[in-house]
Amino acid sequence: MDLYIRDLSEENLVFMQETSKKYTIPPRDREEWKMIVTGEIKHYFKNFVLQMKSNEYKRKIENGTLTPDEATDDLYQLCEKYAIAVQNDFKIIFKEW
Amino acid sequence: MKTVDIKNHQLLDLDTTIGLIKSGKTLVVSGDEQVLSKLPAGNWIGGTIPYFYLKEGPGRLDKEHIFVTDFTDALVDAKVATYNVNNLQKVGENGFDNGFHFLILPALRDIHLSFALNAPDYSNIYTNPLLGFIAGADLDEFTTGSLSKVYNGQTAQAFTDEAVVLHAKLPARQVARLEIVNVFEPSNEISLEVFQDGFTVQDCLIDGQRRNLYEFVKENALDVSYPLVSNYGGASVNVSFQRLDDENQQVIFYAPLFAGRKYTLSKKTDDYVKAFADKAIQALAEEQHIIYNCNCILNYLYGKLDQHSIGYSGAATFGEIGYQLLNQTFTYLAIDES
Repeated sequence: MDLYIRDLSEENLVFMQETSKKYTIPPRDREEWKMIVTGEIKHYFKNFVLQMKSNEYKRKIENGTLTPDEATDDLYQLCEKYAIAVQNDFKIIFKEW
Repeated sequence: MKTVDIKNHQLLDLDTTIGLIKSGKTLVVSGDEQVLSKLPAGNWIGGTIPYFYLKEGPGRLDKEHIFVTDFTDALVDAKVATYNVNNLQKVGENGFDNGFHFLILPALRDIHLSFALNAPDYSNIYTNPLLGFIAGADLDEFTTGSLSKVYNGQTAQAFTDEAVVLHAKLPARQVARLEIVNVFEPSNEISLEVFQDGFTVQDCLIDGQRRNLYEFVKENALDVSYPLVSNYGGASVNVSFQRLDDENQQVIFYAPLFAGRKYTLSKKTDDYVKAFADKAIQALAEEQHIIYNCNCILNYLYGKLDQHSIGYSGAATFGEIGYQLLNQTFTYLAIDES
């Protein structure tokens, strides 16, 4: 199977836009967000950045340099930007949204 | 075999590469020093890597061609910068609001060690992907002291102790996504700790007892094609064996080991080369818009990629960069609509 990857033709852009619509993240008020940053949810993230960031949030909350709300806001913003990349992990944690 | 064609990511001759540079293209290049040193100034960065795996057939050690990734069409802006060991921590703060940072470091130098130790604590490091590779050389020359080089194309200058970065800006509706394919997991069979930071280990603690690591590897017939694994900031990170130094009874690694951290062996698989190739091709086949990939030199060597194709092309690097220093991984950069 050949994948032609950098084709930015109009047809391809339409495909990308339609594909991207499938990917959303859970609402900010779901309690699991806070449980991720505080470490209450024990999950080894497949996504490398989420794994690193979740450890960083937990560490910073424990040493008082970040509040759970600040950490949750930061994580939510990051996941909004990279919605596609977090789907696999979030299906395990949030199940559905 | 399934193949993956990444447009504008290919092995080219010197004249074609010079033509692309002169036409203003934004490039990341890998090649031997003898060809990279002939490139004119322009919008490019590069690193010495003369090993390539190829979609069309067996890969090769090639000192005449250059592996070129042309990012021009994907970007709306880009800038090239050189960093030293004192300011590399600012790499995530520079660049653009939306894009990626492509970093090339020289192998086994202070800046390589510093990056490996400190990258997880760099500010703003996860806002945009930080990817890239560690430059290398012909292994016969590298093991006898030849230095890798990185190039700032804007001045066509080469460096042995500094880093070069392409800060890339993407269109507003697109985001870059870095993916890391790693088949290794910690076995927890032994616990290894070193006494000082560095790429070379002589004595160390193995399960709490002082041992010479070289002797331990020999006595236990450890398979050095499998890396050590450690937890760096929550993520499992490989540290690959470069070679056993018989003369000095020491072990040399592709990434530094750090005092205070615990390392263990990685789990054996039935056929790691197949496991790796299958996992990588599966990951690629599910993607739509990949613009770059690279693979570790050890996957090239142990996977005998000089004898067969694995369905896609790239440079075989002396370490990969995926937000932090990686070893024995396959990394790629994909573009998604945001």
